[in-house]
Amino acid sequence: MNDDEILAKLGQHVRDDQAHDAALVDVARGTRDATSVGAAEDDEVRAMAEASRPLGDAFEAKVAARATAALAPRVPARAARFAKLDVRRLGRIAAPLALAAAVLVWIGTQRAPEDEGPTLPEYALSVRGDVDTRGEEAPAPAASARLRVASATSSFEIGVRPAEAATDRVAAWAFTFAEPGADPTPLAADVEVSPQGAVRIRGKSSALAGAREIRVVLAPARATKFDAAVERARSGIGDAHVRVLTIAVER
Amino acid sequence: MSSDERALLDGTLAGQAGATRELVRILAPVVQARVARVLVRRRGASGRDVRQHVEDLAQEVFEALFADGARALRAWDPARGLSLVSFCGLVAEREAASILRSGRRSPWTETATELEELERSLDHVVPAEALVANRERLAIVVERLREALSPRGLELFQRLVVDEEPVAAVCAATGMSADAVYAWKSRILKVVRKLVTEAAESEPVVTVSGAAPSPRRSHEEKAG
Repeated sequence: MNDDEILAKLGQHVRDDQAHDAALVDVARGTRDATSVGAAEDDEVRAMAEASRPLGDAFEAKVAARATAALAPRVPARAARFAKLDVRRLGRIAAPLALAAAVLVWIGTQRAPEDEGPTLPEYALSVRGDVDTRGEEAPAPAASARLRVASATSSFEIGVRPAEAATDRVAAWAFTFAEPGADPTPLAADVEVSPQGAVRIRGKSSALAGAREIRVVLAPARATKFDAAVERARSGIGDAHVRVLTIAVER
Repeated sequence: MSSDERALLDGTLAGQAGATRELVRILAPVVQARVARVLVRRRGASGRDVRQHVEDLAQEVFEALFADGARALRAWDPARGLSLVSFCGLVAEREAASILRSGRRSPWTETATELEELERSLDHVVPAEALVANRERLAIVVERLREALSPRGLELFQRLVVDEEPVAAVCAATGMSADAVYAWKSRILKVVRKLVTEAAESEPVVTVSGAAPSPRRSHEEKAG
C-alpha cells in the first residue's frame, strides 16, 4: 500500500463519517426534522440527529454572553470608544430615561482605609425597560432597582453614575442570575465605561431570558479581574472598593 | 459571504455584543452538529442525557473558540478559501474529540502538538496494510490526527485528503505555493504513519473466541 492509498483510505473514512453533516446542521438550525435523517434502522445516525435538535435561544444567549465577557478585557478599541463617553453625556442620555420612569438609587459609601486599595465614589443607578420601570430604595450598603421586561424584542438600558468622578479607571461587569444561589452568567449587553467612571449598559431583553436578577459589579480596573468580579457578583456583597448593584428582573 | 463573516468576526473581536450574538447564532448549529456526531460516535447511541452532554460539550467548544482572545477564531483567514462556518466546523470537531478523549476543559489554551515534534518521534514504521485495515482503528487515527493538526493543517487535510482537491486547486484557494502544499501533504502522511503505528500497537494481542476486541475500547481503558 503506497502513501496515496493510505491517504485515500483515510479520506474515504472521513467522507463516510461526514456523510450526514449537512443534514445534522439543518436539524440544528431547525429547518429539518430530526426523524428525516438517516435510515430508520441506522440507530447511530438517528441518535446524532436527535442530539442535533436546536438547543434554543437561551443556549445561544448564554454562549454569546460568555464570549462577550471573555473578549471584553482584551479589546483596546473598546477602551477607546469608552473614552468618548463622559459623565455629562451619560447625564444627557439618562435625562429622557428619568422622564420615562427611571429611578435613581444612591448607593451608600463606606470609606475604607487608604492602605486597602483604591476606593470608588458613591454611585446612582438608573434603569429603563421599554414598557415599565420602577425602582425602590434599598438599605445601604446594597442597592436595588426593578426592571420590567415587556418582551424578548424590547431593549433595556442601565445607567450607573458616580457622585463624583472616579480617581481610578473603573471596570464594570454585568451578570444575570436565573435564581438565588445560581451561578452568575455574563450579561450579553454593551457595557460602556467613561473615564470618570460612569457606566451605561444596553442590551436586548432577549439577553435576559430566564434571568431573575442582574448584578453589576464596579471596581478599579487595576485592582480587580474578571474572576474576582464573578465572585463578587455571586456573593452580592459590595464595599468601598467594589460596588455591587442589584436589579430585579420582572416580567 | 466571507466578507459578511469577516465583518461579523471583526465586530465580535471589537467587543460588539450584537455581532457576538449573531456570530454565535450562525455558528451554533454547526458546532452542535459536529459535537453531536463526535459524541454519538464515541459514546454510542444510548444514554438518556445525550442532549445535555451535547449542550455542555458545545459550550466548551465555544469557550475554546473564544479563549485567549479568540485565538482560534483569529486563525481563520478568508483568503484561504474556507468560510468561517466551515472553518469553525473543523475546529469544533477537533476540540470536541480532544475534550472527550482527555476530559480537559478549554483545550485551545493548550498548544496543538507540533508536526515537527511528531515527525521527530518517528523511530520506526510498520507496514501500512496492517494498520488501516479496520474502521475503528481508522477512526482513532483520524481523531488523533485532528488533535495533532493546527487549524491550517486541518484545512489542508480536509482539502487534500477528504475532499481530494487537486494540489493546483488548493494552491488557488489558499494562496500557497505548490511546494508548500506538497510539503504539508508529506508531513501529514508522516504523522498518519506514526499515529497508525501507535494505534496498531495498542491492539490487544490476545483475542477471545476468535473476535478481536475493539481497539477504541482498549485505548480508552488505557487512557482512563
